Amino acid sequence: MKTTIRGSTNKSYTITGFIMVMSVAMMAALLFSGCGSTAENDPAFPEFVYRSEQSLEGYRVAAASQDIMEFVPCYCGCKQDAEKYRSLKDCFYDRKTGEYDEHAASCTTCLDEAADINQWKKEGLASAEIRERIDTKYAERGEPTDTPMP
Amino acid sequence: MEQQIHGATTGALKPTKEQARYGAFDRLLRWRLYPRLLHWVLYFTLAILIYFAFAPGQRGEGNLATEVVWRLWWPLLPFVLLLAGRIWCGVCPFGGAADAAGGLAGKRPAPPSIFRKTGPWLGAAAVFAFGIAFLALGLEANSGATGIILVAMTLLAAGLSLIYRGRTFCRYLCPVGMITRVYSFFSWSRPQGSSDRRAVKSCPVGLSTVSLRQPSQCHLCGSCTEAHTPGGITTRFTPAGIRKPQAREFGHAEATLSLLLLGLMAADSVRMTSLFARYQQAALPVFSYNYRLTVVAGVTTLTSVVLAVQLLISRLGVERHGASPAFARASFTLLPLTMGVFLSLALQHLWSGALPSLQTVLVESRLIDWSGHMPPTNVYFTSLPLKAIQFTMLGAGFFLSLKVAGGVRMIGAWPRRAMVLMAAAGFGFLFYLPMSGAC
Repeated sequence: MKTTIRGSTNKSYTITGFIMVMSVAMMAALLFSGCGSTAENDPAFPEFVYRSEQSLEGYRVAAASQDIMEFVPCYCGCKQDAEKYRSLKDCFYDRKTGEYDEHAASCTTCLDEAADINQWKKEGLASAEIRERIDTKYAERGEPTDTPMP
Repeated sequence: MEQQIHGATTGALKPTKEQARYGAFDRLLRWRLYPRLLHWVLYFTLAILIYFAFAPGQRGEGNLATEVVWRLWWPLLPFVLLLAGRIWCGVCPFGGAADAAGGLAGKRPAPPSIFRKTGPWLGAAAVFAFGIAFLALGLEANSGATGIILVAMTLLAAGLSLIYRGRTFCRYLCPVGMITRVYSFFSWSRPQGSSDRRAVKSCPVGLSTVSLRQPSQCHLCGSCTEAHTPGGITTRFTPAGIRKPQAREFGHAEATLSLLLLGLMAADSVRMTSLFARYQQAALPVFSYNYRLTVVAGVTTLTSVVLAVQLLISRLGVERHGASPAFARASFTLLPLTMGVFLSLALQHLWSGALPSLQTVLVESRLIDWSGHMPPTNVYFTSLPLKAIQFTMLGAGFFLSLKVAGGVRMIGAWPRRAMVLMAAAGFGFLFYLPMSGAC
């Protein structure tokens, strides 16, 4: 990093700024390249999915684990609209059209549940065990949707 | 600059006429328990926050540590800065830890000259790294990273104070300190030197309490204004203005920092609009579907554009002068506008982020009953009163920037005004769009 204070021109100071920005950015890129939300490829998600890292990760899990989410209740309070939301899957996919639903993109409870499902699925848990754990963990958050057991 | 006032006496001295005129803020600085009482309160708070950040079973979103730090403290900081200057630095628990560690260590050498030479640049790099981490890691919803930052800053502040005299970390390396330093030019409470030379107190940042040549360096820590000690700094209340920097107070590192902040705030503004989702959708395939890499690339590009434009602008006006201060002065022109943006973004976070988050914490702690849907925190919305206040802040920053541009003599009139206009138009467009409180 260039550190000379006196006797330089405007250009050299801006270049110092550029070097600094690039150095920090490169370090950050190296640091972050191995962590966070990554995928080999993504389905053609709609724009709202990319609102946040948690949202993208949640929809990635939903795309890969629809069969599990179908038997997992949602505790975010969406039960109020019982016609539309009957399981966690309905927070990510519209029941009627089968297209992606915007609801989960900004719902922390839905995204937390999706993250947990992903984690427990990686640990090798079966659908019934995942359901049981979700029920135990999220019971305090609110009323669950009326979801059938796996 | 390490200066001490020698040859004076301490003890129970007769109050001077100057002391008799102390306002409420100056009396606070001279309060016997300032800042120790606040330090202890904040040590306790910090310990609780660190515990919650690392406690097992905690979530990022709705975590007490992330909620208090990023949705309450961070958005309140620019307002505190505007009203009371760098008072946060005075009561900051990291600064307190530095003072406490220094007290334990006894006599230590002054920080080496490399800190004085490279310190502001390191501070500017720390701010940029902090900004990138904030945006890429989503610190508002990342309790682990928040906890690591809190612990690292405490250890660094205390550790450097064990080795060197004064608040070395706060002065040279703290990103928050660098931010409060450059924006303290807008503070309505401005520190000024006292003519009373009787105070014999060593300033932890090496300032002279008599001349106070670099007021933006003053942490308002109260070291020079302890109870019953005459002298020390006083403050002057001057609302809605900007103080011109003293010599060497706003150098090239600070100028670069102000541009980095402009780039980071542009990135934060974009992040709160739907443009961000559009950018991610387009950029993710380019960056191997790595979300954080796309954020780093976007922030770096935006900041580089800001630096490039500034280089062009400052080059346009220096043909006859060829002097390096042009860059710093031209950058200073943008500072009021950036402050307006900082306040607007902070208000956005407070308005749409803090209240729903507080509700979530209360519901999950079972302090209130809530049978409805848990409040979402990042839905784009348009609130007319909020937009009105934001545009007022942005407008105030814009006009103040134009005013400052009029006083900048090193560069021609049109480049600096074009620069202010361009930045204001860009932020105006972003603030016109519906925004979320957090991502």
